[in-house]
Order: sequence, then structure tokens, then C-alpha cells
Amino acid sequence: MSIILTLAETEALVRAGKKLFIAGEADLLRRLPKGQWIGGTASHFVGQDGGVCGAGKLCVQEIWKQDYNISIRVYGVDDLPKIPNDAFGNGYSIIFLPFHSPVHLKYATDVPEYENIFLHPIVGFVASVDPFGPKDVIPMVINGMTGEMTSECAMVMHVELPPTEIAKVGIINVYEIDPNGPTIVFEKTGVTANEAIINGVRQPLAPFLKAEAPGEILIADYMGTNINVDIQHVPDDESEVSFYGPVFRGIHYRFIRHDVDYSQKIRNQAQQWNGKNVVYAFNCISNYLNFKLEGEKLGPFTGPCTFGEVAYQILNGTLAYMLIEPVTHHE
Amino acid sequence: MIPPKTDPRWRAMVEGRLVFEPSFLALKFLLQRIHIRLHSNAQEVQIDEMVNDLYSFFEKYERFLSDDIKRAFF
Repeated sequence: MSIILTLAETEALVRAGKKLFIAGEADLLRRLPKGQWIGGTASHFVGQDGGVCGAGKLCVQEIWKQDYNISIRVYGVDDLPKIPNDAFGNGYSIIFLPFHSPVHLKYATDVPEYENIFLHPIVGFVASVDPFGPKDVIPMVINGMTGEMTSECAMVMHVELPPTEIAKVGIINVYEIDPNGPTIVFEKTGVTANEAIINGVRQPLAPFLKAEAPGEILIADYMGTNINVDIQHVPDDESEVSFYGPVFRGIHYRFIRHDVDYSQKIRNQAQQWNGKNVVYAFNCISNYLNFKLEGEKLGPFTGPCTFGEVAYQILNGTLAYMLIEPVTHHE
Repeated sequence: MIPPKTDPRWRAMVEGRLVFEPSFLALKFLLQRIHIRLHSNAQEVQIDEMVNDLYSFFEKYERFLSDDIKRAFF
């Protein structure tokens, strides 16, 4: 469970040697002592008392069982494919990637191709900034072991689990597909696109979105699980549309349904999880804002709400979580 | 118990001829990746690699995939 703490409270945990991951403003992260932690910038959280815009506070998560081995690693663009094979044989990884950095863009588009990626559970978030704050602030991640703060690299904590436990990654995406809307297919994987094949016809994407669906969310069916992509910017001309997450070549995207009370739906779904051992959760800032989570609790799902969440891949508008369960042997 | 790697159903799953809806998130993503690769004119050797990837995944997570194994193979 993530908790919202002051700088002094967080300092005390670091000095006590706790293994932590921490989200918050860059100035606060920078002032923390060195220790066994990684951090990333974020402005909004869901904590023990509900959603909060985190001015002056940090969102702190102790790792599941403090005596487990960890390894903190920093990855540049060229090193990203090594992440799954650097992970412990049985364990999991927590990753923070600065928004719109080269590592973010590369991980977003390439991660499905990394060797063994789906054999090693990985969750995390895309480090962000306050969307209503100053525009010149850059998302950053920090290696607590060294104090190194960067907007260029991904920060990863690999955690080892004993053979008696296993990590599982899941997501909650409340959005539903509008089956009557257009089908949009991209010919290239990326976080930007000029063109798409819309209802079978290749055409410039921006004018179509401007006319049909400003502010829309794209959604695709991945074998029974819906995966979203938030649209970041639609230009007035025919230049590139940008997305908060990647669109993948060959996937059939549609728009979301608008006749569903998603705000109520996410609350209902979260309540059903009360009492379950959700050890980590990462939510999307669009969920926080669209579903008005300020002051609202979300069952066992506490954690930062950022510009993207990682459940193996980078997602949008989704709640990513990790469970750690005992391994049971059956006949 | 998963079938041996030589069982033709692994290849059928890679090629989308053995259709089922997995419940395990990582398996959904893995199959999605496989199907995208396949549709970009994968060579025979790549199909063998995909079968290996899929088999390795089921082998590692066999204890947690009982529902998916039943749905896919039985």
C-alpha cells in the first residue's frame, strides 16, 4: 500500500534502511537522503485517505517484505532490452520512465519485442509533472542509492522473491469499446501518427479526429482485455497526432462508448478488491481527473496517478497492479 | 499438464487457428505480439521461435494457467 508522507517522515524511512519507491515533486525527491530507493516525479496520488494533489507530500511504497533482495539499475535507451534478463529468476521489477524522454518513447514502442519480457512481471509508471503547473518543469527519475536524478534514463528496481511466492500483474480498465464507431488501424507502431486506415480507407488522421472525435480515447481489444491510448494532441493541419501511449501497427482501434458511467464503474470495481493483497498499484492521471478522485478512496489501489502506467507495456487510462501470491503445489 | 512442444496445437495457437481467450494478462500480450509478427509475413524459423516463446511461457506459469490450459487444450 502506498501512503502519503511528509518529507521528514519519508527521510526517516530511508534512514531506517527501508527499501522504497517514492513518487513526488523533484525538489522533495532531491532532498531525500541516499538509500535503497528509487523515485519518479508525480503530482497526483491516491493515498490512504483518498486522492490528493501532492504539493509538499510524497507517495511512498515500501517493498513487499523488506528482507528480500533488490537490485537498482539505471537503463539508457540502448540498455532497455536487457531489463527482463537482468530481473531475478523469480521476482518482479518496478520501472519509472520520464515522460517523453527517449527511454519512454523507445520502451513504449519496442517493449513487446524484448526477449523474455512477458516471463518477468514488471509494473511502474511514467514520471510526470503537474498538468496544471509550470510548463517548464521536466519529468525526472532518481536513483536513491546515488542521488542521480535524470530525465534521460529509466530507473528500475528488481526484487527477488522466494520460490514460495510469485508476482502477478493485472489491470483494471473501465472503458468499453463503441462497436458502432469507426475502426482505426495504424501502419506503423509509434506515439505519433500522420495517417491511419479508417474504416478501410487510408487518410490523414488529424482532420478526422478534429471532425469526429476531439478529446477521444482510442481503445483496442487484446484478446478480451481492453487497452487504451489517450490522444495527447491533434494539430489543426495534417501534421502528426501525438499520443500518451503507443499505437501498435495492425491493431484495430476504436473509440470508447460514451453511455457508460465510468466514474461509478471504477469505484464499484475497486470496492470489489477490498481485502485482496494488492501490493502495488499505478493509476493514470486521466482517471484521477476524469473520475474526480480528489479525496476519494479507491479500495486497495493506492499509488501515483501519472502520464502512463506500466503493466509490462505502457498503458493509458488504466489501473495497473501487482499481486504477490503464495505458490501452491497441486497434484 | 501442458502438451509437449512437438504437439501441433502449439503451432495452431501461434497461427491463430486454435482460438481461445486467455485470462492471464501476460499471455494476452504475448499472443498479441505473436499474431502481429505473424501478420507481417513471418518466416518458418520465426514461427518456430514463437512456438518456443509460447511453450516457455506456459512451462514457467503452468501452475497459474490451469484455466487457460483447460480452455486451450482440453
